[in-house]
Amino acid sequence: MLRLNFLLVAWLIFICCQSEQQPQQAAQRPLQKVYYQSEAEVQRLRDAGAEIIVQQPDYVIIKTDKMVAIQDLKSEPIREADMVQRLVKIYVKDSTDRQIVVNSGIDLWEMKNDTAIARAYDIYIEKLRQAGLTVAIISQDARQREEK
Amino acid sequence: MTAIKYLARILCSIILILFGINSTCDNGPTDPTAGLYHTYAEIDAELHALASSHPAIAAVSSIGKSVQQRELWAIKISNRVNQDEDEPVAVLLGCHHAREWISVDVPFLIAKYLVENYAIDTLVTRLIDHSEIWILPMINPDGHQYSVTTDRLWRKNRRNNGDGTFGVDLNRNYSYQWGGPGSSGDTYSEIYRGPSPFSEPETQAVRDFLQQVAPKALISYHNFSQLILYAWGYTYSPAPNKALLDSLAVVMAHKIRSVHGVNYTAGQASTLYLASGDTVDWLYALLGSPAYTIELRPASSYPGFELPEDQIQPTFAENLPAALFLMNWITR
Repeated sequence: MLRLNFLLVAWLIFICCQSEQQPQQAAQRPLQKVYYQSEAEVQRLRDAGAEIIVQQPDYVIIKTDKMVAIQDLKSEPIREADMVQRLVKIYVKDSTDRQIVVNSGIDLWEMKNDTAIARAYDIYIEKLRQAGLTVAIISQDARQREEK
Repeated sequence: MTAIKYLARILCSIILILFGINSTCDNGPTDPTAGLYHTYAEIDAELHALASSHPAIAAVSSIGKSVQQRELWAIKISNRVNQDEDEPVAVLLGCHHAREWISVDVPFLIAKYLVENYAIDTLVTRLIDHSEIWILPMINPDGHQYSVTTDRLWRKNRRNNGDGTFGVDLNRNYSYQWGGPGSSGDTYSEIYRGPSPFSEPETQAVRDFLQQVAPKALISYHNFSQLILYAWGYTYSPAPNKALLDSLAVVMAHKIRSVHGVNYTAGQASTLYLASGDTVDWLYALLGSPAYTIELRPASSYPGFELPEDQIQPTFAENLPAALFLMNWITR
């Protein structure tokens, strides 16, 4: 019993120490992992104003202030491993394209005259395509890219 | 008797806590390995060993702590190292970005070379006698450790952003032109600039340190692309005294090429692409001292950040004369 008490006290104090080690910034609406079964459900999330950051075959990572949109879908807090990024090649025609790429928020790895290699979330890929750029997916998960 | 029991509980709790914290700080013998690349624990140990074996010319101190309370180690190399002399200062920084492992090893190996060649090599001896050289090989130890243990391509620090995402891009968190092009306000972005300038303990520590030592020249190592970049990064407009910045960069590129024939391209940072809130722009705006981002090997995204271990030594070897040249320039 005494040993259990020691462990409990140690654990509580340890948790406090850990939270001091990793101070959080001002509270923000957490990103949500939402499981879906059809594209219609994803579209419903979009229509409700959710930003789809990542779309995998069975779940999306969304940012939304309107939690009502996901009430009937299974959701949970995200894990870092859920935040999948694609490895992409982006075709750039001129300096205007180049600046769109730079300001998009993607993880830019390499910029050449007419192409850029980057790691990007689906939301960024979508925005680049909406801006008129051609984006080719090299690898669905940049963590598992292959030598090219 | 009750008081003794409580004391015993507190004592045991302290022992357990110490054991627990130690095991989570990744400093023990079970540390992960990065192969021939240095981990945080290895840099910690080897910097201290280097200073211990050459106490007259090398001293290690911490400029602050990371988000996860790791020390940000700096080694000062100078004769009369424990005195604050009125000598010009050169600073080498490594590992703002976690996954850029070679950016740790190059400044560390330069520190090792300097210390071990004092009183042997004429130029090295002169530099140590007539300047203060500060080398900080790992600005982002938390991110680096995460890159070693969990996600090889991790870039940012390990700030808990409070929304399920982690990390601020330290090289977008400096105050000069913070929030400009080439940075992002999205917490999940790899170029997330943080909620405010100098929001991160790592950049705060570097800021305070650089303001204190006021370097006459600085190199911040990154990889990859084989570039030598100078201010400005936030705009296409030329920086004041651009001709000097460019001439020094061109000489450094020549020095690098002379070792293994590898080309590093010199130029204004924004010619690559615009980026705001980085170390070099901030220092140049503050002091006007020549400051460079050197993007180390390789040239392209394959192998990109995952530079094979057999390229550590040649990358160090080719960058050594460039660093020595810049250090020598401040003593002119």
